[in-house]
Formats: sequence, structure tokens, C-alpha cells
Amino acid sequence: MPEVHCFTSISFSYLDRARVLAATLKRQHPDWMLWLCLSDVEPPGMAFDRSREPFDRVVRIEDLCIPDRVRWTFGHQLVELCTAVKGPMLCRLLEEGAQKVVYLDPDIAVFGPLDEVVDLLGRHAIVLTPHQTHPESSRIGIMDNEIASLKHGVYNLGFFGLRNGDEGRRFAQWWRERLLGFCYDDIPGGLFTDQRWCDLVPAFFEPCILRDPGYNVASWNLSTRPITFDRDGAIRAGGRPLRFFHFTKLNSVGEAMLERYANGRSEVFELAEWYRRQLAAQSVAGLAPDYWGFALYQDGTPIRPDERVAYRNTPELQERFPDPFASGPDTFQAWCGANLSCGRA
Amino acid sequence: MPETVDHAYEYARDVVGSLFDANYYVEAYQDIRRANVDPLGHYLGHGWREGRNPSRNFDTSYYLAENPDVRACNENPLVHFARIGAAEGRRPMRPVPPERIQIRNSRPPRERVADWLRPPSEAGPDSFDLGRCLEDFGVADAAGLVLSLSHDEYTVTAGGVQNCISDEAAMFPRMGVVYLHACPAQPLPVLSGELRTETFRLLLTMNGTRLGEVTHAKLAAELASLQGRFPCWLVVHHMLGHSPELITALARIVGADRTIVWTHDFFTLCPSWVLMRNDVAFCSAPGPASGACGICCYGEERKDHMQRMRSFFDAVAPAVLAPSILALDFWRERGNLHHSRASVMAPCRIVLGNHPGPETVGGDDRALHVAFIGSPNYFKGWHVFDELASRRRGDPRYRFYELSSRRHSGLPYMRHVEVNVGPKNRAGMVDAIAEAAIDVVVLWSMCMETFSFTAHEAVAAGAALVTRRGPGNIVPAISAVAPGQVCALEREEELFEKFASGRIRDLAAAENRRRGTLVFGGHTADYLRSSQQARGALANA
Repeated sequence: MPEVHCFTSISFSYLDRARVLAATLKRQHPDWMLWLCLSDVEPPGMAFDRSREPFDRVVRIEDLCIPDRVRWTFGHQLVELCTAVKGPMLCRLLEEGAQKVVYLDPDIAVFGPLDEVVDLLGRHAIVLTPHQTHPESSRIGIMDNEIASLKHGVYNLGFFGLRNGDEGRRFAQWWRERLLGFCYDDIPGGLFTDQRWCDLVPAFFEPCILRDPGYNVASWNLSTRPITFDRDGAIRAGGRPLRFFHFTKLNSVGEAMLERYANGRSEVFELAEWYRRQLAAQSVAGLAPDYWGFALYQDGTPIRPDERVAYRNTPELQERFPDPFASGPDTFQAWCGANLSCGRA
Repeated sequence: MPETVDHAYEYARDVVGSLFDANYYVEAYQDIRRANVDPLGHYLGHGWREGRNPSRNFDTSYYLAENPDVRACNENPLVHFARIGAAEGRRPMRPVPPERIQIRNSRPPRERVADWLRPPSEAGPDSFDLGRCLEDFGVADAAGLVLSLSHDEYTVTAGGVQNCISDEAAMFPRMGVVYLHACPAQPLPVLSGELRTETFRLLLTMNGTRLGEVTHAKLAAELASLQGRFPCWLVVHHMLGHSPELITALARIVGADRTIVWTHDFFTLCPSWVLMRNDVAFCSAPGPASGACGICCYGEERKDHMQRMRSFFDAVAPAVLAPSILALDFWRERGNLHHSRASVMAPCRIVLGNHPGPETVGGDDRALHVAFIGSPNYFKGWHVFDELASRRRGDPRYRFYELSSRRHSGLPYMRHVEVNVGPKNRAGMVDAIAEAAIDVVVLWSMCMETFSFTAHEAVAAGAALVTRRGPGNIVPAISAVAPGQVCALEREEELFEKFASGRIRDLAAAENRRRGTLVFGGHTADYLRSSQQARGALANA
């Protein structure tokens, strides 16, 4: 069995990204076992052929032994669901006997060996990377980055490392339970999916905080980690070898944030353009943009976020409508039309 | 419609025309939509003072910040832009940084192949008798033959490499040597993948006369048939569009010791012959497995490219000629490619006379004539010159010129002088610089210049040269000849400051500058004349 098991979590709309992650990770660590956790169902006409994918194993949401899975799924939006399954997936890997587990978000690309993480997991049960490791110096940087971390969580859960031991399993169980019950994008309510939970980790456990600027470089820490190339072609972040870059929301707000914190340098845009080329090369045939198998009611009507919130917060509704995706009379969809203030015409 | 239609409104509406996008305005500003007021009327009355933009393509705040005169006269910025600003070359919004444009437009070279494809010639290959042509060109009496390879027809395309080939193509026949030039009939932005000798087509030019297309097989057979009659040399000026494997076959016919490879640029090290990573930054040719090559648009192509180049150099071990010691040292260190010997052959040199620079003609109060010369592209630093000229727009101390084969800038404050440098007009640029009385040439080259004709042309014409302190040949070459005529700066801001403060005049002072001429070499012809082995072979023939 490989020493390190790595997993990522997606719906099909992120399959292109996961393929890029897989290609870049396998280049550095061909011996790691890569797992794909999939929270989606294929659209009509799309064939997902596991044997042609670069993942060693694929685990679907229905394989994760999640209690009351259909109702639970309905209560989550796309990002919430793909995040919430990380807890059950981590426990599954530990149960299968994985000794060291590394999670990487699908929109990460690996540029250098992650041996240091493996070494750290020899000495620590949990490894986390903070969004920022140096204070910002500008007001806008404080607002964009430090205050954002106060809202979204100190540690970026696009990455974590975990060792299978007492402490690691204790963390995994705790995190799994929290994510099954409270993995929501609800910043006013003190939650941001899986990340705010991990603000508690240094209090409950003894994690290793990996501060090397080469790990988990993204728009939110670029201001203190400029990307450079040395004469021998090594890519550096904040002067250290770049290990992995997190291309968050590259085609939307992420690009503007890169621009804001690139300080006039262009190297990071070379990475971004390269990443776009990789995505284009790994695009998924037959998949509509923003497709998600759990986005619609049975009749094809999109499920609104407030409808999901109403359902997950109201046990009576869950009991009355055991299949919340159904359409027609006496369904949750019909109930929403009649009862929610923003109901459909 | 506005509540009151007055003349000022009608005038502004007519002036700005389609520059105001009412749909954009109400989409971007929902309060305007809700208020149900005339969008243009709102923008003209209040919107611009509130920093609102009239379209996606005009930034009100940027325009006011960049143009204090507009701010001072309290004129609506869009009306000003439409009325006069655009014609004066003022920018409607912050330009996208040129580096970003370069990156956005960068593409793997394989993806550009389709743009290069041309239909096959009607005559097809081998439609003429090559052996007969050789006889007609006096091969019977010749002392030798040079088969010269490059990427395109030097008699048609202008450029540094082409001019070198023109020079030696004129020189060799005077030595009694037939000069046969071959380029791929199908040009490509990469090495060719065609390895079949019967299929690969070459376009031949002999002693300056175009012959037509031949297959590689035919050319190789003719070359083989000439062996023993007189010495033949294979001179590789450029491999773009060629197959190194087929060149190896030609080298085996003439003999490895008679094969010469030029490093006019660094195509032997990377498909990006200027070594510009993602077309944006000089990369120093790191290892093909490096992180930089991993994210470069040339990186994937480079793996196979370098393997083929290495096989070629291992098999042939040619003599290598470089245009400067700097280029040669760099090529040796970064390429580590097998070669039998190496020499520097500078394509030209500056001979300075005692003529003063041009400024004395107009006196101290004349505007300084500042020029960009040559191909106006990013690699040559056009964007920096463009920015300089834009910043000093309307400054009576300067007059900006573009000396090139065709006008690139449509900006009203840039004067264009058409210059075409070719075999019959080798000093065309030097003469044009002098004629336009150019005081300063700005050459902010982004890549590593292996030689830089333009730097030599500028200084020979008596102009002062301002350049980037980069890794190339410009500073060492010019400093050796005319140290007072060159100024190397680290950063663009230093350049802009020199012009803003007027300190550039110190460099441009006439006493620092002398007019001279360029003396062009015979390139490979000079090399062979200096080579004892080649001299002996020619004498015996």
C-alpha cells in the first residue's frame, strides 16, 4: 500500500481542474495514491470512464455511508456539498488503512515535491497552511486578506495533511461530525464550510502550522509571496521554491485579486495563463458549463439557495418530503412555490 | 429624453456619439435605471463628477487623473476626449500592461503552424535540372560550393540574418565559390517533423537567382555528385522549418569538418529563438525539465526540440560561429552542445569619424529628436518607447520618431520615417537616422541581443543610445567603441525620469557624439578565408 494517499473532491464541473491537479501531482509523486471524491451524477450523454481518468480510485458520494444521504445532499449548495464530503472521505481513507493522507483542492496545481509534508507527518498528526503567514501592510490588503481570513477561516482547507494515529483519527471523527451537521456558507452565522471549524484545531489538537511561503500560494497571500523565476528555471514564491499554487476563481474575481496583489509583476500571470491552457486541454466533453447533477428539481427547475436553507433548517419539511428533489403536487417544490416569499409565479 | 433639451446637451450628444453607451450606463448604475432619467443627460450633468463611466471603454476617473488640463478647465472628460483628446493620443482608460498582453497572446508554437501553411507551388519539386543549373552557374570552373541553409528566402525577406546571408552571397562568387541557398518550401514556426528525404521540399537560390523547389533527396544526390570535384561546405544559418536529421545527412556528404552552424539567435537552444518565456521575459535557457519550461508555452515543444538538436550536434560536431563573444559564451554554457570549434564573427563594426552629432545643426534650443528604430515589437522594447512618448506628449523639448519599414504607431505625436534596409541599402537606417537628425535612440530590448544591428546603426549615425541594462551585446559592443554615446539604465522609471528632468540632454550633448559608418563583414566568407584548412582546400581546387 502506498505511504501517502491524496484526495480531492469535485462535482463534474471541476473535473478539468482535478485532471490538471492529478497530472501535476503525479509528475512529482507518481507513488502517491490519488483518490477522487465525486459528488455528482453524469448528465445524459456524458460517459465518465474511470479507466481513462488519471485518478487511482474514484469514490462517489453514495459510497460514503452518509446517513440520510438524499435529504442531506439537498440541504447543501454545490461548494458546501463538495466540502462537506471531505470529512467522511477522510474517515474512509483512514479506515482503509491509509497511513498519511493529503487533501488538495481540485483548483490546485503542484509545481514541486511535497516531501516536506510527508516528513512533517512523521512528526505531527495534522498539518495546516494559513491563508496568510505575514501581516499585510496596506489597508486594502488588510480588508481583502486579513479580514477575509477572519471571516472565512485562518487556515486554507484547500490543503491539509493528516497521519493515521490516535490524534489524527480523533481530528477526523470530530471534523466529519461537524461537516455532516454544519458545513455551510453562513458567515454571519459564524460558519464558512469546513474552514471556520479548523480555527478551533490549535485549541483542540496539536497541529503543525506549515508557514513555508512555497505552499498554498494564492491571490490572498501573493502580496507577501511574489512569484519569481531564477536563472535555472526554478519557480519561487516569496523566495522559496513554489510547491503548489491555488488558482481560486481564476476566471472571475481571482484574476482581479491576482492583479491587485501582483505589485506590477507579471510572473503570476504566466502561471495563470499556463493553468488556463491546461484546463482547455483537459476540458470535459459533453458537459454544460456549471453543470451539477443536484442543481435541479426533477422537472428541471433550478433549486434556489433559500429553498435549500428552508429544507435543512426545518425537520418537519424533511419528514414531510423525504424526496426533496421531486416535482409535482405535494412535493417540497410545490410547497416552496406556495410558502416561500420569493416563491415562483 | 432630458427634461430640457438645450444646445449644450445637443452639442455634447453629437460630439460623443457612440462613445456613450446608454445600455451600459443603466446596467452598471441601477440607481439611474430606477430613477428613469435620461442616461446621457445624467452623465453630462452629474455622472462624470461622481466618477461614473459612460461605457466599458472609458474610465472617467482615469482620464481626469491623467489629464490635469481637462480637470482644470472643468470640461466633461468624455466630451474632451471626443472633441480633441483622442486625436491628441490621450488614453480613454488605463492601458492593459504590455506584459499581460504578451502573456495573453502567447501560444505553443505548434498551434501557430496552421497560420504558416501555404499552398504547394504549382511547378512542384524537381521541375528543373539542378545539375544543369549548377553547370550553367559555372560550377565547372568553381573553386568550391557553399550550401547555405536558413529559414526563409533572404532575397525576399529583410532582417538581420537575411542581410548577413545577402552579404556572403555576394562575397562568395567573387572568391570563385558557388553560393547555393536553400530554405524550406513550407516555412514553419518550429522544426519540421518531416524526415522523408523524398518529401521534404527546399527552395533554392543560386548566387542570388531563384531556381525553384527541389526535394531533399535530389539536393543530397547533387551534392554527393560534386564531391571530389571541389570542396563543399554546409553553412547552417538557421534551422527553423528544417529537420535536423536531414541536415545531418547533408553534413555527412560534405564532411563534418566542413559544416558550420551560426548562432545568430538561440534557436538551437529553444523553439523561442529569443529565449523569451511565454513571450514576455528573458529566461536564460534553463533545463527543459525546469519549472519555468514547465509553464512556458514553448516548454512542451522544447523537450523534443532539444533532443533533436543534441542528436544533430553529437552526430555532426560542427564549427560554430557567433556574432559576439557574449552570445558564444552564453550558448556554450547553456547549451553544452557538441562542436568541434567556435569563433566570433561580428557581422559589422562601427568606424567613427570626426563628424559631430546632429544637434549642433539646430543649436541648444532645438527639440531633442528621439527615435525608435527597427521592428516595433515588444521584444525590442517598443512598448517602453511608446510609453515614454506618451508621457512626454506635448513637451516642446522633445520630438518623437519611429524609423521602420511601416508605420506602427498611429499616434499624432509620433513622426514616422519609412526605412527599408536590404542588400542594396545596407546603410539605409544609418542614413535615415542622420537625415532625421536623430539625437537619441531608445532601444529598450527585452531579450538578449546576440549582436544588435540597430544599436550599431544608431551609434554609427551619431545618435546617443539609451538602452536597458540587460544581458545582451548592446552595452559591451557600444561601450567598446563609443562609451560616451551609450547610457544603460536598470528600470523604465529611470528612463522616464531622465526625459522628465531633461537630464537626457547631457547624454545627447553634441560633444559626446560622433558620426561614423558601418563596415559590414563577409560572415562565413571571412571565416573561411581566415581558416587555414579552408584556404588550403580552396587553393588546391
